[in-house]
Amino acid sequence: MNTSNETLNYFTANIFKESFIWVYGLLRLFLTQNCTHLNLFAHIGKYLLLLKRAFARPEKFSLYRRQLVTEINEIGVGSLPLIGIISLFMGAVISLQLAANIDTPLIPKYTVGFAARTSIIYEFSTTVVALILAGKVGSSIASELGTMRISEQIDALEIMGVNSSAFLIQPKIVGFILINPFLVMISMVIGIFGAYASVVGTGMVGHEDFIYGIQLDFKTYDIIYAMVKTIVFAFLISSISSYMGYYTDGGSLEVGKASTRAVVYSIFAILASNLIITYLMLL
Amino acid sequence: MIEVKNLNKSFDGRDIIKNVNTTFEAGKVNMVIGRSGSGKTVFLKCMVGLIIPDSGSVLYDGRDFTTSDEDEKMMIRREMGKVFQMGALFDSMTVAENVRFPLDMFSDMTDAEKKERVQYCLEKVNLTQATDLFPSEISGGMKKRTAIARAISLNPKYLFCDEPNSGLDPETSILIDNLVKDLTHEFNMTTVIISHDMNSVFEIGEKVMFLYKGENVWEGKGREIAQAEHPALREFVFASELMKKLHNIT
Repeated sequence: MNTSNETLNYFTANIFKESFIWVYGLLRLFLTQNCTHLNLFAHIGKYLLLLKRAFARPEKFSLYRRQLVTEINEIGVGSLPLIGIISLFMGAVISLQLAANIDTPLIPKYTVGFAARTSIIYEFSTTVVALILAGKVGSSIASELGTMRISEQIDALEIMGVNSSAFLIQPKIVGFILINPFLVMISMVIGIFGAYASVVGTGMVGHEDFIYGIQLDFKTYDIIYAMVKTIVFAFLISSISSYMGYYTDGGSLEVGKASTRAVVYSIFAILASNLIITYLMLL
Repeated sequence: MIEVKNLNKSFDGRDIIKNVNTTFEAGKVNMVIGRSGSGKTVFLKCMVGLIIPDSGSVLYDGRDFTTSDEDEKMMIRREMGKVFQMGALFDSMTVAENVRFPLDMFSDMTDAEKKERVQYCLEKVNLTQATDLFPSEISGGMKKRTAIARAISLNPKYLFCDEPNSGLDPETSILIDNLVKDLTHEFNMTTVIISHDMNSVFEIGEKVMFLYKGENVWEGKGREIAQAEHPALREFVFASELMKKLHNIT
């Protein structure tokens, strides 16, 4: 028992080391290609300082609340149709592929429901949806803040004595963190419905088998794991995109570049944090 | 009153602002003029803290802005109003909402008082007919006037204008100049205007500072500028044929 624990600890420690080296290497490669003036550590420092300033106490809570509601509406409600359609088709395709590949009587039919549920909760509704939202929400945040920067609207806020980062960035991060778990839960429900409709509707798996499969060995911890990932991804997407947009320098061309960078770095951050959270929570 | 003492700023080893000293008095229209690239905008940004100077100080009624901590800076900034070159109006807000924003943010006025104040500011800039329009729906001159209305909504002690009449027709340009001058006198503000426009300098410049390659090489009243002897300033003032002819006539 002791030996197996030691082996697991050693394995986990090395995985962290390997993951860190890979993530650092990839980030460094991208940052040095795109940003000639600042190195990776300068970027991280600047990002952390921006977050510190962004989480300062807002000047006026009534305006902050209004901004928060606007952000929740734009990010959450605005993303619902896209999330719904993607989840429905994703769930349908996963279960069809599973059902089509199980052609041996040794594997029971309820495995389709079980595998579809597990993959939807573990990865598809959390990570895949986060990757899609990194494209939609991330580019929108970066281009909005970038445009405000180049048209001097952020300077105008600063001159008025408004903490522009707290006023603009904090509601985006908090709003996304609050709404993303709901988006992901809706995605899970629609995904499982898509899976059910595609295999039960076509008669590949029976209704009872599918329902038994999706209920089999269900643990609340799986949902906790998914929600932790969801919150971390929401924070990474909104904060990285805000950083890229807030520090846009130049003209409209730079706004486009900032938007692209926001999506690319958000995707990297999602993939790296997914690995780390999975090792921390499932091993 | 704003005092600027030994202000220096360089970028990548290139000196942009070189040891500038000057004083801008309250209740007067102070103008900073100079060629493109002479450092006027950097100078203004250093004054308001959008760019941190390498050395020197800027004192707002004796309060050193450059050495203030972030909270003190925010407090001094709440006494400032700035009209940006392109207006810098918030795209998602209407004209009235833009003017109301500083009131929502920093005043304890009731809703009715805020509405009254917005109406008053918009009347001052003659823009009551455009309250519900968005910045994308109004002309350049109207944007500038909205920016002025927003800048004065909290009764600022210091007003900064970055080329307020660039890109405007002569008639609107004169309107903006007179508006800034009247507001400065009415509210006893310390106004600093960055401009290229010699007409504005002659008409409203109560104190003019000429910035040449980042240095303050001449200071005086607007109407004294025609008699100035600094060669770079003479070249700047009499760059156009019209100004040369007018000078020869007088």
